[in-house]
Amino acid sequence: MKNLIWSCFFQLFSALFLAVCVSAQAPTGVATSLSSGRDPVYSPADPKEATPHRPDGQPDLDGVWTIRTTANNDGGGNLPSVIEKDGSVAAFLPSRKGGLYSAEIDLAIVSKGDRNKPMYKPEYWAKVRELELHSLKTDPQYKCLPYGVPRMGEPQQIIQQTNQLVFLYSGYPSLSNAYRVIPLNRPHDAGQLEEETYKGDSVGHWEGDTLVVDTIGFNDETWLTAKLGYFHSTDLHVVERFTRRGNKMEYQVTVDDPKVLLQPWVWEPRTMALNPDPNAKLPEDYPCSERDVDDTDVR
Amino acid sequence: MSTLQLVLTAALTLMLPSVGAAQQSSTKETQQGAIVLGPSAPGNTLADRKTVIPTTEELIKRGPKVAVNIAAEEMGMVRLPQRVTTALNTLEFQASGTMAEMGADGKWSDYRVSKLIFGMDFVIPACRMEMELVGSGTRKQHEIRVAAGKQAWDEEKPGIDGKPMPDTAAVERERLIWLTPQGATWAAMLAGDKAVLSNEGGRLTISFSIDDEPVKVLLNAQLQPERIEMQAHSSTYGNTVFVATYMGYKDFEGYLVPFPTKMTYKAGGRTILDLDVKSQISNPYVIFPRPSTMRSEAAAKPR
Repeated sequence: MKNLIWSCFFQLFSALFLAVCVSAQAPTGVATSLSSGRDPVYSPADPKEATPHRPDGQPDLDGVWTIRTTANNDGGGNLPSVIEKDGSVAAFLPSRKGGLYSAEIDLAIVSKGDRNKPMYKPEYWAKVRELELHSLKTDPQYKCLPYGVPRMGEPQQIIQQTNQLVFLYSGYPSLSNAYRVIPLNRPHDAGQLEEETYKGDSVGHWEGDTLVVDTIGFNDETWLTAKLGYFHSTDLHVVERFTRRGNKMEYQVTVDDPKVLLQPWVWEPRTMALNPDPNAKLPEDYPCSERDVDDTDVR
Repeated sequence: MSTLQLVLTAALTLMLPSVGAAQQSSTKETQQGAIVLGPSAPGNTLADRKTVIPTTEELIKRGPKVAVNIAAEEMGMVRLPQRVTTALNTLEFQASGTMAEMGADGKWSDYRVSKLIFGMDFVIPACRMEMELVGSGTRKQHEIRVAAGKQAWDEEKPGIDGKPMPDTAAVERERLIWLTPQGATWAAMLAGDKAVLSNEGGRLTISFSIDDEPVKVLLNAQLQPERIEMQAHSSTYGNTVFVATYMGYKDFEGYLVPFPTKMTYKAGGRTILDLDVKSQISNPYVIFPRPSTMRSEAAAKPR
């Protein structure tokens, strides 16, 4: 039950995070008289900061990493919520005119208005729109399917060894404490590629201080992001780049799928922040089936 | 329903915005701006939240930037507490009606428009107008006219088999963007302090220029564009005044984006488009890749 409450908070927090992430992706070149809401919340890693290294010489990526927060942008993952004595939950949601209503529809508009869209081939435009229109039924997350790569995004914890890294995930039902093992400096596993999985087959290597993770061998059952209908084929190829500067880490993703996309899709960079608490650990996710609710309840 | 269920429902509602617009959640707001979800929260429906629209004189006193921003909010173009004004940046509507067009020989042709889908992107700017036209005694013709940045082309199917058109066509086509209610509002926001406000019979008008072409937007009492005039030099019509009039605003999707159900465009006093709007989509997936046959334009220059 505790996990369920935590996850509710996480979803509220995620909604807030989504709003700011998406609004941070301002249309490039738009006159400054229009407000994108970007400046107050976007705080990338400082490129002047040094990259800590491990005794084996590799950049040190080990630790619990959090998504950036909106409240104070310290990456601490503080949830701006409290439980009142009467059981009400106060959450600092992005309400414009007051009330949940404007927060909710504003989030929808902002999410759909993300300027950084994958360029699908024309024959797939109608499919994207149809999937988005009916995302409550078509989004794999509502079937409790795994997010898969790249939708699962940046890991919340990295366990590093000389020859491999382990990525741990937490927070969403469809993540369900997911993990990825990233072997270093070896070719893709032919057997794994044949299986065509949600997470694909990942291999990593270092380019200077940047960890480059190359993933192929996917099935076509996941989406690239939430709700917007961005499907992919089994030709999906994802390249993730992790560059640590000080206690922040830049996370960059390039998505290519020549079967359905006109050109590679480059995500807006995200900034991860190291949790300074030496005892920090990821919470256990509750099973996805437990989150299922009657859809009519939210219509 | 338990508190936990309420919380979960509210949380999930936030994550499912496409259907949540109709959901009337039980909420209240604290003095700090937090939203309280739970059994003690009073109802908060759309009807509960009546917006108080300042008078025309009050708007004029507050200056063009503020007044336009308030009008833009009424048009669904201001979002989140940080008042993001770029969130609603693409729009599409579907309509039917009639169209009249002057050919290169100066003769007018009248059409029945059995279907028109107009998708637009305010940032690039770009538009795609897909039409099924029936002329007098002619077969149904299907046309897709596209413009993005400074370039224009026609397509056989959306995004497919693009054939270049003269650059002047881009100007003509993109003018239609700025004649739409949200397009004119976007342009007025870009004009900022250069916009001029006036009071016409108690209604607010906003005057500004787009590429040196004067535009005047007359708003109705809900601050929705009712009439948009643009003095333009058209390659088709010469120096002329385009006038768009709008009626019957409706929130088609429940996203608080009012859009007219009836629109009429005139050029030099002659009606060139008379449309009944069937549907409207806010921020649809519309993209405008240039045909491979066309010269590349490194980046469409935004306005």
